[in-house]
Amino acid sequence: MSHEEREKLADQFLDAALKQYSAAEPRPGLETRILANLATATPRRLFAFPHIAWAAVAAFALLAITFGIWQHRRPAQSAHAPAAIEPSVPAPLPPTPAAPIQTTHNAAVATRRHRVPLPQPPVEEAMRQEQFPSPQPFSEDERLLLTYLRTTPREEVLVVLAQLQAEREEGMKRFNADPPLGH
Amino acid sequence: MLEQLALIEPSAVGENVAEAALEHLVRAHARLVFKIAYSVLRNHHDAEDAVQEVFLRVMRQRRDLSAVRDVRAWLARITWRVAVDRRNPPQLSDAETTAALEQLRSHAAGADHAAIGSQMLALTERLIANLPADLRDALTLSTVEEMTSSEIAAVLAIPETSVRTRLFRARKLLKEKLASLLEGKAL
Repeated sequence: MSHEEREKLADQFLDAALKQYSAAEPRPGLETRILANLATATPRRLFAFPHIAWAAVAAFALLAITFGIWQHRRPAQSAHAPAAIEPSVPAPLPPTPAAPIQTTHNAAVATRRHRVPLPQPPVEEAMRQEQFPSPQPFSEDERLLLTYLRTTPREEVLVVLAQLQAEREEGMKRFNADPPLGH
Repeated sequence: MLEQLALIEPSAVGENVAEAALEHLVRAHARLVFKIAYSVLRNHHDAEDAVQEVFLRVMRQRRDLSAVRDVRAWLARITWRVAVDRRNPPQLSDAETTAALEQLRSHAAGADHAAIGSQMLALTERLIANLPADLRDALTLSTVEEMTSSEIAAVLAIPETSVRTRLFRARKLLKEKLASLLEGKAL
């Protein structure tokens, strides 16, 4: 074999070998496998629509605020009926100087935690005012007394008061001087 | 389609568009990506793994796709990087290559054409693997039928003239080795 023939043969062989070098074809269904792999690798969103997510967040916040307000109001409501609660619930500890404010709250919490069936408070207790002495409308006698004080001169009132004082002292002297009944 | 893929909005509609665009990319270029990967890795399984990784990278970089002008070249470059990262370069000794040549010569003497074909291919793979890296890369990419010189140049980030030069030198080296084989000389 001459040199030229060997060169030509080597050239032919090289062309054939290089053509065959990358002639491999992928196995059928390559695209399907790739797409399936991509589908599994894609992170799925919790919410496909962002406005739904925002609405959910807003609803949750509203619920939390409502619950917080309800919890804040509950101790005040339970404080309105202490007379009916006290017999069935252990009395709260006396307030300590270290935490005087928390005691009321603790009592309320303790009241909340002991969910025993409580009797309905009486009507008069339910109507009791938080202010002491309770503001009540004046009675008939009080109204007459006020009218008398407004219309009577001050000197006359002082004279009457002095007379009343003297009568009271005299009555006290008599009470002390008289022997007891049955002796 | 690429513009649609790049303009992905975080909504169901945007996701659907992105999925459709990605599917279009896969169906249009999966075969090319596989061939490039195979030319480097020389193994079906490894090549398919590389293809999967390539399209996963594409999916992650979908927001940058608006800047891509030549999708084929862009995909080819990604595939090349992935495949080269996965390649275990065969370190063949001269003794191993000489043994392969002797095996081929014995088959040639027996006129076993099928064995000759497979042996020649295996020998070519070994010879290419033993080429200098710059020549080997250019020659490997040139074996993929779909790849043009300009695309090879884009993948390797070299001028197109350099691609032609390297191909010429690689072929010359291979031819010399093959001629030595046919002549019955040891390498």
